[in-house]
Amino acid sequence: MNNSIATKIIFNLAAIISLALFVGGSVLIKFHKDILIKSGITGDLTEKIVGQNIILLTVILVFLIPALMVMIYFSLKKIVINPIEKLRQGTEIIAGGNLDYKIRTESGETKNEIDRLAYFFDEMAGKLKKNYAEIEKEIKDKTEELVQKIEKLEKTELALYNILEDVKESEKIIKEERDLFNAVIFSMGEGLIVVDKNYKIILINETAKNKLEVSEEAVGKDIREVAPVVKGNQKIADEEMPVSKTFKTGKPATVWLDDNFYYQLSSGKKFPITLIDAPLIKDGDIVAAVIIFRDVTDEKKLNEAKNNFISIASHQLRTPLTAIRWYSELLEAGDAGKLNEKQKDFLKEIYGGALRLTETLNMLLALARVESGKMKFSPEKIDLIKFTEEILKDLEPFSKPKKIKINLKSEKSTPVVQLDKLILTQVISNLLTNAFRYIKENGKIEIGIVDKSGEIVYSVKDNGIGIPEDQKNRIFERFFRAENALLKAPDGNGLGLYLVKNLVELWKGKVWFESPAVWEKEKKGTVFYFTIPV
Amino acid sequence: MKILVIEDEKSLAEAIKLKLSNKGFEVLTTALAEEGLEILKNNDDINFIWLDLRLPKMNGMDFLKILREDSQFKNTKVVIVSVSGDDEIKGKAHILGVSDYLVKSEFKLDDIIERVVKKI
Repeated sequence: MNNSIATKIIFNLAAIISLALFVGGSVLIKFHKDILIKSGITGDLTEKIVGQNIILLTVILVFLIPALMVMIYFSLKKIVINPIEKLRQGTEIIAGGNLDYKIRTESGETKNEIDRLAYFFDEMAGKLKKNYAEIEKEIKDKTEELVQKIEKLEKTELALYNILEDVKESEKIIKEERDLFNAVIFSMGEGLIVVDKNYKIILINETAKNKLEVSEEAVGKDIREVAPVVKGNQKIADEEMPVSKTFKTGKPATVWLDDNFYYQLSSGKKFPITLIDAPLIKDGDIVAAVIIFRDVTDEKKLNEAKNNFISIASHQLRTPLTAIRWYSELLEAGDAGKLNEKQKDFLKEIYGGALRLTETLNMLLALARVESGKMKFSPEKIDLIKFTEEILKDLEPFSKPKKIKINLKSEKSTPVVQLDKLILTQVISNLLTNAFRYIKENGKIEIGIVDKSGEIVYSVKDNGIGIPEDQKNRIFERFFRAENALLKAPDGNGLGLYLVKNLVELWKGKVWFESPAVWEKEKKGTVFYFTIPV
Repeated sequence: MKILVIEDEKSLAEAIKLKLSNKGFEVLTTALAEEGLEILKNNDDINFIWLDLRLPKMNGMDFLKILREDSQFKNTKVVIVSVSGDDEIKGKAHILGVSDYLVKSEFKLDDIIERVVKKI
């Protein structure tokens, strides 16, 4: 293509030169002809000279011009075309992205305009390269920055998403808990009422509504009007109401079965209740009270039935037992005639059986009273030594047949305590009958009464069968009997020590034991201790 | 000496009567407190009463109250012999001036008789 440009230039130049030569030659020939004519040369000669000149000119035109054209062409190619071509190729390479390419192969000053153009191209490529590098670096930096920002954004988004999930989960849990709370409150068997400090009902559950025969309209009303509390048949004063006590003390107030509290309804109906009031405290102040009550009509009936049973059992079982014992005594005393030895032996069995039955019955009844809290405690002064001697005399039917040696040791001559006689009798009798039961013939018992700073420690020591190591922790359990005790005396009922413990605890005393007991020459049997406050 | 025994359990009443008779006392027995009041009115020589508490109609405590309200029997000696050792009843009985309060199951018959005779 460049060659074609060069060719066009050359052809154009050749045409111009040819035209110039032709015109110039023609002018010269005409001028020469005129000169010749003016100088008097004949026409023929002139024509001949001019003809020769024309031939010369034509030769010149035919041979000289192509030679000239070739010369111009090569000169032009060397000076212009090649550098331009080099420049073109260079620009193509640079345009192709190779900014390291140098068009100029020589250093130093520029030779001409094209060389200068090449120089500027190289300069431009160099600057472009530098700019590219800077731009690339900047782009890279910006891209990294952008990537980091995107990552950060993604993390933030993830965190936000997680938070959102957590919030949703929390909302779900809260809703579930609230639903559960509502379900529990509204379906619980106990009546639940929340009142503010002005006794106005804030919340009332279904059970409370049903029991108190009210609707949701009770909310906002005074609890003292909706459900007045009576004790037995007496209306109690406002300040005596459990909820008033809670507001006053800030502590829970409790109403037990034996307190005989009732809710008196406007319909005239009333029902017995047990109740617990608890304060609702906010920022240190009591703002409301939660009342949880229970209709204890059934428990009341059961309690009465239990008391009736105790009373009936007491009479209906003890009376025939008394008859058996008394008539055995009458027979033994010969009130119905003399008995032979075999009859006497049989009679002893009857009497012994009746005694055991009486003992078990007494224990069961005492237990029923202790466990129902009905055990009456009437303290009176008791001389422990005299009292113990009386019990020992009553228990002679148990101790005499085994010829047991009983030793009563006391530090004080007459230790006096304030206790309920019947209860203390039960405790000492139980410990002594146990000792008699698990002792061999001619065994020994030592009763100790020791005054120890503020309390008396009463002990009953025997040299009987003792308590097996692995059963010591169960010895005060109800109906528990150690294996060796079962073998030695199958007739025991497993209630004695349980009752002893419960009775001693009635007067805030302690009970414990050591087994084997320490005697002068041996370690054998058991020693039971209990304390009596002085 | 005449003793009135108010005891609704026939077998026990007979045992008591036997023992007291053996001791030389004249013994009248009844199972009803109301009848006991009648017997007392018709026998002004009775000066000791053996009283059970749990009786079919009028109970022993009510009998005791009526007895103490009557000037004729205000000071008649009474011993309660019951199966119940209830402290509350015991306390009330002592207020109404009983000479003794004995629980049947806690004593042998001979011991009860001995204690009662001491009070006579």
